[in-house]
Amino acid sequence: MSKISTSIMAVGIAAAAFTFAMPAAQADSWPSRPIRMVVGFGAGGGTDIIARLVAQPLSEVLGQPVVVENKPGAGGTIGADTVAKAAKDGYSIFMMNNGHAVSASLYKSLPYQSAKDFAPVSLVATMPLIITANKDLPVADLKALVARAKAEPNKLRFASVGVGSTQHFVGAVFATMAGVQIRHVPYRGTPAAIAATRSGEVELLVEVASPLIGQIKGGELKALAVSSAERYEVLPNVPTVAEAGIKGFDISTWYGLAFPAGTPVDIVNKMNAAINRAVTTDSARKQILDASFIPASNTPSQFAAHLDSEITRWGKVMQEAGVQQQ
Amino acid sequence: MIESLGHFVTGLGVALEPTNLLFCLIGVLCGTLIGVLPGIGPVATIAMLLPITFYLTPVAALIMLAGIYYGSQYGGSTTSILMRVPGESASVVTCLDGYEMARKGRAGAALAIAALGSFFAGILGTFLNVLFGPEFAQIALSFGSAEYFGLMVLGLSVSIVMSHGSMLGAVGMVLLGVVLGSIGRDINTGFPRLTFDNPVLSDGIGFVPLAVGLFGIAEVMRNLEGGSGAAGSILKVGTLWPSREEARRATPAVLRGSLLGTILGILPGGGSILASFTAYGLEKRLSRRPEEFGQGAVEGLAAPESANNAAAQASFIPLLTLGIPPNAVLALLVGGMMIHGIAPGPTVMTEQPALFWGLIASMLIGNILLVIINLPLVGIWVQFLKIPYRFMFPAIFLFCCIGVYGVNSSSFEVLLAVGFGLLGFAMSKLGLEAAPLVLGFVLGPLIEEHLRRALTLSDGDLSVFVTRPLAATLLALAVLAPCLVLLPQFGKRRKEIFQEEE
Amino acid sequence: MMSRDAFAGLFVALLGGGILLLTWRYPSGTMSDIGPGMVLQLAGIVMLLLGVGMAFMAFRASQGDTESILPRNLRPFIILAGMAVFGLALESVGLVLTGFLSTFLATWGSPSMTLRGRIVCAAILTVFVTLLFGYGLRLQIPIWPRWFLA
Repeated sequence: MSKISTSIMAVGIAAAAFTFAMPAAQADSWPSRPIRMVVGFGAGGGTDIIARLVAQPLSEVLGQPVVVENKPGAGGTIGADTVAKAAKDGYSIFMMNNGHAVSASLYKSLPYQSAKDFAPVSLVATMPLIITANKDLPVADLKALVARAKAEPNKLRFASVGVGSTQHFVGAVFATMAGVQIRHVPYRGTPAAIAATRSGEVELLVEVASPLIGQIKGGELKALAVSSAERYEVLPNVPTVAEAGIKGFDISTWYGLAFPAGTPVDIVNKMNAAINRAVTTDSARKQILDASFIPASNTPSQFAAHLDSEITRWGKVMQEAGVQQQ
Repeated sequence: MIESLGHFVTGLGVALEPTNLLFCLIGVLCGTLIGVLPGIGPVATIAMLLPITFYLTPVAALIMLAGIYYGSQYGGSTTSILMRVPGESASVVTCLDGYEMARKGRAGAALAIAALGSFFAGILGTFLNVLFGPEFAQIALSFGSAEYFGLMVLGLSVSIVMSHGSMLGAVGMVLLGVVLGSIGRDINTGFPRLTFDNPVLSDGIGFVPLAVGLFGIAEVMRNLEGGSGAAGSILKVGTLWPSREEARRATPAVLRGSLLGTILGILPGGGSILASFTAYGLEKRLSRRPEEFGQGAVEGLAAPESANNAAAQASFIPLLTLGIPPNAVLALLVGGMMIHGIAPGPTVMTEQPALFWGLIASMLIGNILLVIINLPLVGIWVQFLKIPYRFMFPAIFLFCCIGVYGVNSSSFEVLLAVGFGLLGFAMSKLGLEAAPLVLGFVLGPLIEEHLRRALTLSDGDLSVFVTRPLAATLLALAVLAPCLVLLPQFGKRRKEIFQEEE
Repeated sequence: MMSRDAFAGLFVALLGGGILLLTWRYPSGTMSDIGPGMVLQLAGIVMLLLGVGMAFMAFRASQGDTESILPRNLRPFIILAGMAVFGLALESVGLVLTGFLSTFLATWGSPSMTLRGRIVCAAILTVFVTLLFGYGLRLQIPIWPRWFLA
């Protein structure tokens, strides 16, 4: 047999084999094939890590692999758009985070509607942010910091991972609510911001908790306050911003899963139950906690209400912080 | 120092435990594989393996993940040498003289030198880390924005020096690179620059489509066009091993490259690409045969390859001693540590000595394993060169397509690579080089960022670049570097004129 | 005849001018607060001047490299066409069809292949990369056409 017919046969056999291996999609027997979990950021970021930590136990509960797919770009909106326009069959789910609520007002135009195009399923985890200071800055707590910032306005500087980031906004909201003026200095990436705060190039750093824990425990950065309403269980000695007298201050980053809008309610509820079971197994809970996230879960309607209120909140914050739309 | 050596021996004991040894082997094997294959890099691989490492001991997990990273640095040079397709930013320099060596029938020698150079760099880097790691790490903290600005400008200046065509053309290409690198949302203000209102461009252009287009695709185009400068239908294979002369020339270059790589690798952001470009520039300056650079000079391959690998080893130091990962891959290792309840920070070294020293010692073992794996592979890789080019180029073509798509699962990036292929082809027609463009692309945004931040912090006072001694020194060197190269050229030209008159 | 270096100079100048045109309206800011436009505008201006300088010097030298800057034939561009097909078709028809089509197209970049050779070459490569990247490494890449799965 000539080479050409051999190779054509090979293609044919391969094609046939994979065709038969392809199971059909049926709504009542959901899930009958692998589910893709789309992450709007590159591999290795916080959103990617929580997605992978959740996907593993979720696969076990559902009996079908849950495959994490990274669609990075444009602040997570490319991944969001992929899911918003995906088939409404319960085989595409989006790992949403609070950046989704921020981008709703940060961008002039998005190819999808941040709330209406999604069917929220459940929250999976949260993480507070921490306001930290260079260890030599002579302020013992947040009250002292506020006093110092009032004494010398526009002198203190805080580092963040960029304009329009949650970190930037938490710093800005803190400044507004405390009635102080501090300058924002954006850095490219968390490591650079940590290094700059440690070396004293800037005095303050607002960052999500996980990369700071080692620095705080090692005494290289001084933790002044956590941004959530309750204290953070990994660092129980650090008071909240509200405890320092700024009443009502409560911001956390959050992560949750959402199908495209129009996915059958049965599937949404089935998935919600699966997520609730997956994140509460002992090993999954421990992994999520060790990675310094706080496991969370709720109902589809609670998560939908949460998403709505976050979109409204960040829209207001952006206006107050004077960030330009893009 | 003696104390460190004692710890290191203990660490060696940890790394030699059978399970740890096994995971070290798995790691470097995976690393070699993904280094060679397009479209899948250490970042994606480590991210995929992270949840699995939960079931290993923390030491075994980190040894394996680290092995994937530095193993991929070994594999990364293979496609650069054989096909002129750089897999990551630091191997762009390998394309210059490595690929030229392959075209001259020295592919085997080039691959062997790359593997051996990486090996020596890995060993040397590991020992430098053991002896001076914590001291080196302090360098990273003493660098403020003004110092980074100085260093990056120095890097650019060196790259202009290393160009072999017209220096003005090289400056032009660096600037084009800077402009391409600045596409996307400005990090200081969020202003969208040159995005043409397309959200896909708001995070900027990726490195892989740029490099694959400018180097890999443009090279295929040149070869298909035929005529002078094309690779012809068959590449000679030649002898497999470096000749004595090649080994003699490579040795000092490997040493210098390793030293440079170790120091620059500690610095976050652009450390490894700076190391490979600077090592190349240094060799060209020191060489008695600078005209051979770009035509397959052994030093021009050995030095940057070693620098690149030494930088990979050194980058673990700021992670382990300061808790600050200097690049995206090591940031993932932070995730790997967190899953095991170890928060990376200044206390890891004292609180987890078995982990710290075991990991460092495993790099020594990993490098030995890598050279054992890679040297026999050289024989296999050169066999590919025996395939006639008319069958080879469709394979390179398809690998480039999948490689570009695979990085971000983005069709748009494939189309970008088409554009950069056209640009690269046009540039070669005009005698303009691609390497300075790539360096400008990587360093440009960093230079701008540090300049702006330094001036924001100093309230617009330019004197920060003079009053801070380290920054001032680096900037002075940056100005001197091109002068140093121009002088002997003038000298030579004058000599030629005199000879004509005689 | 204009030398290659003169064309290179004009090319750089043209790019510089284009960049300047596109970024002219970007805010350039002040010394203590450099705006997003300053670096781009500076790069554009320097490239424009540099390019004009290069072209001028090349004119005066008037010898230099006289190698034609025009491509000898159109074969190199077939590769670009193939890659564009890959980028445009992949997400809707998947790796198997796209890989075969684009590689088959790309083989026309070489004049010395039989039609049969081109088909075999494209088929073997497609099967190989599908098995390796699609099923072996599980790269995030669509393998089959979208309608095929639904």
